[in-house]
Amino acid sequence: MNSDTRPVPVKIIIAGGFGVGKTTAVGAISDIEPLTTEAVMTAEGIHVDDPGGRSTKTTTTVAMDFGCVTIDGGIKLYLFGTPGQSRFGFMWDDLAHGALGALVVVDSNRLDHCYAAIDYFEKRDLPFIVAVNTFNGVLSHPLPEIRWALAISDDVPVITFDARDIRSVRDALVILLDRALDRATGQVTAQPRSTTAMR
Amino acid sequence: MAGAEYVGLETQVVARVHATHTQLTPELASILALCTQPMSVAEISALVPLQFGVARVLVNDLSASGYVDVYSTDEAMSQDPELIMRVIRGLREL
Repeated sequence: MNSDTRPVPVKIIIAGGFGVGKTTAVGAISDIEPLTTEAVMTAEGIHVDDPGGRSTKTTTTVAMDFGCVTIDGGIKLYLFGTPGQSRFGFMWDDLAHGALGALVVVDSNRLDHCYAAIDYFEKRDLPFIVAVNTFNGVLSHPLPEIRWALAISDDVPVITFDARDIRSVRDALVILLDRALDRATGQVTAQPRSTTAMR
Repeated sequence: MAGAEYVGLETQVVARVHATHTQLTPELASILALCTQPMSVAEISALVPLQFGVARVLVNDLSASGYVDVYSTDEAMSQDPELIMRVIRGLREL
């Protein structure tokens, strides 16, 4: 396969709690019907005091819905949805590896479902923006309050969008990619997290 | 690049045209049959279906034994301004 036809996969993470519209957003813009891949983590704890050597296993399964947008020249943009809570974090290293950035989808009534993901993206220095899904036309808290509650620095865009609308999802992704581009061209350096805002 | 390349969710897997698969297990043959066109490991996982971790191991096996080529985008490539610009332009044309 020569360099002209070599497939170039890129990806963006779509993070957020259950029911905030991740899969809706993926489905709105994807060329393919959203698919689901499952990943399983098994943590094994062995009872060292037990001569029988019994072990206990706890298993966490994460189902990730994803879609794909085909761009020109063999570029395929994958969009992977992931729950934002820390117990699903075992997949985030794989998701973040080589990712262009992350769209954190928020329901303004349930901000707590994305704290862990935001912490992770900040530590990883992965470009991200916060997109409040206003599918019902209701924004229960003003954006500055949401920014404060999430304790994110002023340079992280916080926007509203409609996860059902392809143009709205597209615009949100472009805002994220503009930020990734600024980072890539060195126009923005990573900012330390604000220490004044408290959760 | 076979074998050593990072295999992630979005990694593209393409069957080599000369690949024959009479000796393969059903799972490996299923993967190979899907990859006549570039196919991500995530899609393979969803369509066979297999857990992602299992799909990744089997793709690595197929790659190491020369049945498929794999194409990934590493951390450095994902921060290439030209690549990001191409994605932005592509999205704006939607």
